[in-house]
Amino acid sequence: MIDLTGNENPNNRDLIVEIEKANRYVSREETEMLLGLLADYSGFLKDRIIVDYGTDRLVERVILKYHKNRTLYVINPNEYGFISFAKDIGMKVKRIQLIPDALKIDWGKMDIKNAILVIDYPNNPTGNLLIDEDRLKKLLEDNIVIIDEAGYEYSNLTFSKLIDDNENLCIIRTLDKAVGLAGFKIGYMTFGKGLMKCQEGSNVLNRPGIMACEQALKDKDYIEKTIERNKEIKNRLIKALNESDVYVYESYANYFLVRTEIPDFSLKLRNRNILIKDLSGSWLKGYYRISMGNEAEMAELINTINEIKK
Amino acid sequence: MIKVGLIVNPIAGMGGKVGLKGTDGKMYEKALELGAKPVTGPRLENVLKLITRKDIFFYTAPKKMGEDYLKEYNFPYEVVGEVGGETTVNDTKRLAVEIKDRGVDVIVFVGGDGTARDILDAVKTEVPVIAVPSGVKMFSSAFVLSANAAAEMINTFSDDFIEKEILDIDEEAFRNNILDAKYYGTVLVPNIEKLLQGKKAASNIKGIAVDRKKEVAKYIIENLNKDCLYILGPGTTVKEITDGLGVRKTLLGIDVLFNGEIVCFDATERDILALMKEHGNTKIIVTPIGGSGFIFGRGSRQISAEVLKGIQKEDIIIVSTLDKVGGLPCLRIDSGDRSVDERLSGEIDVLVDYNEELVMEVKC
Repeated sequence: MIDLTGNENPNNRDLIVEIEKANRYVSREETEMLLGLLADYSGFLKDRIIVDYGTDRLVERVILKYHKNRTLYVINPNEYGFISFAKDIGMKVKRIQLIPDALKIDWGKMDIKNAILVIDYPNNPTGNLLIDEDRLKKLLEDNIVIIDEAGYEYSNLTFSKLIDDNENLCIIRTLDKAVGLAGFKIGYMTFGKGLMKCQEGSNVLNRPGIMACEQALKDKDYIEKTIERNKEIKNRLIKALNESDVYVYESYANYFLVRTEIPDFSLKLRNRNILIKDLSGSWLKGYYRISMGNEAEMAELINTINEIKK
Repeated sequence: MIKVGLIVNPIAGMGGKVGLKGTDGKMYEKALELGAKPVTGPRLENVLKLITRKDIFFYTAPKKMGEDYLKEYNFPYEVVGEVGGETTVNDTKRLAVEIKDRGVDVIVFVGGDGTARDILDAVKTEVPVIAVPSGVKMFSSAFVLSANAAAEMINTFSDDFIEKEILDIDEEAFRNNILDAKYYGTVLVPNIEKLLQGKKAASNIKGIAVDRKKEVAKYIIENLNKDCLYILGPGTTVKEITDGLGVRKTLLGIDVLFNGEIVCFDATERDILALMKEHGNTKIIVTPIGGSGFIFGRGSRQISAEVLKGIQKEDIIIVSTLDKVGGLPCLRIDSGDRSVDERLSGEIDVLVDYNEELVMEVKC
């Protein structure tokens, strides 16, 4: 089965994770070492980094500390797990419907105040950019904004330079994607000085995770090759898909949104052992997200689509 | 020069505001007794005044089936055939054939699902149609979104067409709270999807969707205001609220709730206006029609433009489930009064779960 639903890195990596000192908690030195590595890798200030098990948990930390009298805003569709958490603690949730073909949010039409907004940049599942710097600054005047830069390594676009001057801004990233550590679920976050309460509590990560980070972040070659390979395969794939009655939307990420009139598209692929994400459960029919696989998987995808068309 | 056929069903839609859910058969007389007024003529006028192209010639059905409205405008036209005092289904079918035989490029008809069936019987796919919605239910996907959409279709008319469905709705079953919609056939319509309404989609009856409806209802019940009149639209999502309150509600009609009790069952437009006058503070709870996203103007004509004139946008509560409404690019309104539709257009919140909303755009 070729699984293109997961928004993962298709290239496996070799890691040596020794489970020594399993009877001992992670030491302060180990955590400091991890934060130093992440600071070097991301350019974030070391004392303004929080690490946790996945980006959902990081958003939950912000929500927990700052939810009082605020509404949580997210884009629809999304795959966020923190929405249930927000509702469980009594927070109102608003989803903003994203509409093709423009795939833009008209922020100017919306009067958003006293909110925590989570905006993925690039957006998942479309791979599009839904906000610009001016609009973000405007939103930050009355709201906490969490920018989810999970796809940063692929887009090379970030709002991190705004952190110093915008106390209500958070930026979250992950080592799940380009760094290839999805199995460890390692998220990290930097934040403006108005959100220091997020730092209360410890950085949460276990020893195998820290060891994996140490090796992965030093392996720059893997990350660069992943990004380069992603770019090459993506360009070839878009060309091939466009010739197959499948419309591909521009994407800044390691996945892309496609639209097709081929009936039961995802089901037909599934019956041929290829999984893609059908978005019709909570969004529009005929739209799918395809995560980048490796070269062989992508070739198989194209061949299968051409078979289905016949 | 395009040659346009024109047929108006003068009695279509009259049952809507008086709660009859259709004007098939003897219901027309009952609608008159209840004070119903013709709606298709004014609807056609809303289309005619927006037609800007000059290279147009109409072949119209006589008198109130088209001629009476067309003659008020400066379009060149010819009257086709004859009709007596009261018009019937047979008049619609016969005139459609006669108009088709004049070699028209397209037939514009004004009516509801019943009229659409008659036109299909008469012309099949031999000539394309522009279906102007002015009935009660109008669930067929062949209908355009509004009078403005019909005019735009005429103004941009070309030779690109697609097939769209006509549904056969059992009116008697509909009056008994059963939506029995069957595929009846297809007609050809201009291929401009953005001007066409979607097909009505059935409500999701999977366990999780039913649970979400219950959560939506729970939130509404917990937040009902005392001494506020609630006009409840049709559909299973709204009915979940009255089920939660333990009171009876029509599934496909309009009911009015006040302090936890239904004060008007299967209300007409007149009932609603009288209650609004009596109570003042009024809110409307509706669910969009699956597939097309209409919140007003399809299937619930009792909540008319007159009713909506007395309602603020923030007093419209839209309820749905994410699987249903998330599949829509926008919500739609077509009350028959453009100024009302424009006032209620723009961003609106749809309650999709307990304390959870989807921000959508209402378009007209």
